[in-house]
Amino acid sequence: MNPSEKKEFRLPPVFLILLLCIAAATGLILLLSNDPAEALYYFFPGIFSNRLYLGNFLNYSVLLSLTGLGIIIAFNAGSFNLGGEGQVYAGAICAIAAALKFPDLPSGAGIIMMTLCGTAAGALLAALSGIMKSRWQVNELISTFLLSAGITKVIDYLILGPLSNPDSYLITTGEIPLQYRLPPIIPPSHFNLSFLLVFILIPASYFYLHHSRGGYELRMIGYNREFARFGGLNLGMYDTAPLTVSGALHGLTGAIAVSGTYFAGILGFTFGLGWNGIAVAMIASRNPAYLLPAVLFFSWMTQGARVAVLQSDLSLELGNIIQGVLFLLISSQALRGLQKKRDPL
Amino acid sequence: MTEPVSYSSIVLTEITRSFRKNGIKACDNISFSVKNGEILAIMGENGAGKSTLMHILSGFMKADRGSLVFPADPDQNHPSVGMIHQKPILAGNLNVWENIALGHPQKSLVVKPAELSSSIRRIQENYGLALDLSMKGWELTAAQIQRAELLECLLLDRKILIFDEPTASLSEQQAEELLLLLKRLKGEGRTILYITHKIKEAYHLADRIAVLRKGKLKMISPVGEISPEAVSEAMIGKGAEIPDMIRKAERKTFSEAVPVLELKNINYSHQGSIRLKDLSLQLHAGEILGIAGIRENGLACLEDLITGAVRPQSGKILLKGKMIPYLTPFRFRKHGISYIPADRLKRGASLDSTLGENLILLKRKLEGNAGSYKTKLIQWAKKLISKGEIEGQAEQKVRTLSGGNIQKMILVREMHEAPALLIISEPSWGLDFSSREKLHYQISNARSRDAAVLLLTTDIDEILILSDRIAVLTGGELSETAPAGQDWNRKTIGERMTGADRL
Repeated sequence: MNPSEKKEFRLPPVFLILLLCIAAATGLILLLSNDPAEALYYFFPGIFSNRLYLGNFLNYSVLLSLTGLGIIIAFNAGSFNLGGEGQVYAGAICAIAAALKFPDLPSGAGIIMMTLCGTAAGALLAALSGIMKSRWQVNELISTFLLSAGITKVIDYLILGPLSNPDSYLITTGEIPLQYRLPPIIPPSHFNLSFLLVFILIPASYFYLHHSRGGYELRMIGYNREFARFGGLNLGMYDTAPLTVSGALHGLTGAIAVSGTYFAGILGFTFGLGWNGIAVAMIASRNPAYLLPAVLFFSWMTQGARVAVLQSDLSLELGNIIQGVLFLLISSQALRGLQKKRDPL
Repeated sequence: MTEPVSYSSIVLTEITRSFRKNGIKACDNISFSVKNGEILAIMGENGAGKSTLMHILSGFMKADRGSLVFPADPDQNHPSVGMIHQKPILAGNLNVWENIALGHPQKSLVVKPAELSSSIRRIQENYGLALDLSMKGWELTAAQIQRAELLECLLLDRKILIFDEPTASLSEQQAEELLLLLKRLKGEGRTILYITHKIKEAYHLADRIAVLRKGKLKMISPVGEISPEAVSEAMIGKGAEIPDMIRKAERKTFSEAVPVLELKNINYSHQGSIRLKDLSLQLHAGEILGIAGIRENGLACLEDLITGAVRPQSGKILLKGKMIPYLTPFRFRKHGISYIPADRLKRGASLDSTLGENLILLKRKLEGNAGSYKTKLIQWAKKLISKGEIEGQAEQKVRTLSGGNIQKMILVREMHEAPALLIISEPSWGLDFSSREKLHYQISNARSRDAAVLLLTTDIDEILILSDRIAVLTGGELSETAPAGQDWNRKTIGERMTGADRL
């Protein structure tokens, strides 16, 4: 047996990052709270203390899994989708527009219509970047981001103008019809049946990426573009399709967020689902198999912060600071990975 | 070693270095000394440990064990060693003198360009190293990069110079000039360590030859006291012969049928400079057409053109008589063409993928229903690993393989399906004797299977050994094609290759 075959047991460095995150959060709480014991309780085990917190934690995890999966698929093909925010937003607004336009369909048909509209909107947005990449070598990193930033303003306008609901005290669209709303499983939280999608889409993606020729080709392009190109793989397709699927998953997230959680389009309501999707994709190191644990961890940290803010004397900013620290640590990890590749020897 | 220490410039004692990655000892208990002012040729197969040893000497790596002493140098800190690398290590966005300034110890914080470049110029004039100092690193050819590195070493007045296969990327003419320069440097009292695969070169140049095999020092001896056969045997073990002309398969007169590959009046220019000029060629089934040339002088460009990486401004490319209006690598592969690229590490292999994933590239459908795609992939890979005699496991990352094994991997992948057309570029770069011989055997086998083979190479011996017909590419122009042995021999090919190189 070749000596290089022997598997050393080493803790993946990502665990170190996660531990650092928990340590940082604990440290901040100890520093900023007058009653650290209470704040810590609400921060860590607090989300399991009642049905609302638990349900919201799970619900946020569902949405985050879908965006994270979208990032992972594009990532494996060597495409970076930075337009997640706009794609989620576009998916949401299209789902709402469809629901408001056809308010009288039966329940199932209505939900399917909203889902399809949202998914299509996200897909279309990302497909534009994919086509520009394969046709004119436009860097998708920039084009997805700019398209998303641009479309966000358009959607803001729609919410403020043509679709706005004058009767609400929030800046929001009209609410979607009652029969189009996904019923909650753990009331009073919004956790709903859409979690089934996670258990279908994550295994399906894993199977596709690691157990099919298509997934193999996709990953090879992500590993080494020149190798894939001279091996005769169809770069044009793999520059477009994975980005499109990525956008579709973001649009789907937007649609589900509307039909299951928000029921209306509130101005700028994506809550960082796009950006956090990138973070969980990095924690999961591009592999769908690790996505769910990564999502649960991330969601736990963010929701824990929210609960602690509600229940203890912690300020609202602490949640954001902890997310910021998490982001910083994860991106430093990603940079280290890039550096390793450049090692000359 | 018995000679007194005072006459030595380097004394190595029991140098050992292994790599954690694969646990292999790259240098195993190596002891010898290098005399002041001698040229020592370091020879050995791929992975014999030559480069590692030189990296230790130049201070680029540390030995795990053993001592390294520079008797002439009180600081013992590798300061007098300069290395001219095989792989370019210049900063691409800096120009030549800036690159040289990077490694130059500064007395003050301020770099004085005028002072520095005038001293560089002095050295250039003194040694005849013509090079435009304002060129950027990325613009330089391999030969020019070498010149820049040599300039840097001479500016720092290195007393010990290490050359890592310096003639590998040079034309015959350039190589001869370099060898003359090396003799002159020796005359100045510098010590030169010279890594090479070429026995001929070693005999021509060196005072002594050291041979490494599998990390061990097999022999070290003055050139006059040892025969080339003995050196070869030390390098590759018993039973090996110095590869003479391998027996040629009986040359067929190839059919007058439609050529498998045909180029008609190709013109290609890039950024205003003409790279290929009115180039036409025909390649038939069952023959090897060898095109000799220097990579920077059109050969690399021709490789890109045939594989569809670049498009010509005018001219036609025909495959089996059918015109291909817009050739891309995708379409090129659709026609079932095999391609062994000169750039193995980018085009030929995906280093961060597994060996299995690299081998499966061209196999779109896997037979058999049993098991998942992954198990089928591994089964397939195992078959090819044993067929290609690759030392590696299906699930091992290709980055951990040696260069020779990576080339074997590319070979078995490209040859396995018995392709009708093979484009081969610089197939034996960096290969040792026995791998090279096996490779030549495989290529001539492909021909006997009636494949059409286009061989693009800088290596004149390779061209002469393998080709049925030969043409030479110089300055973007292709010579008349003629059968080997008639008009073409080492001398005529070499002259033709370099003729236009001296601008």
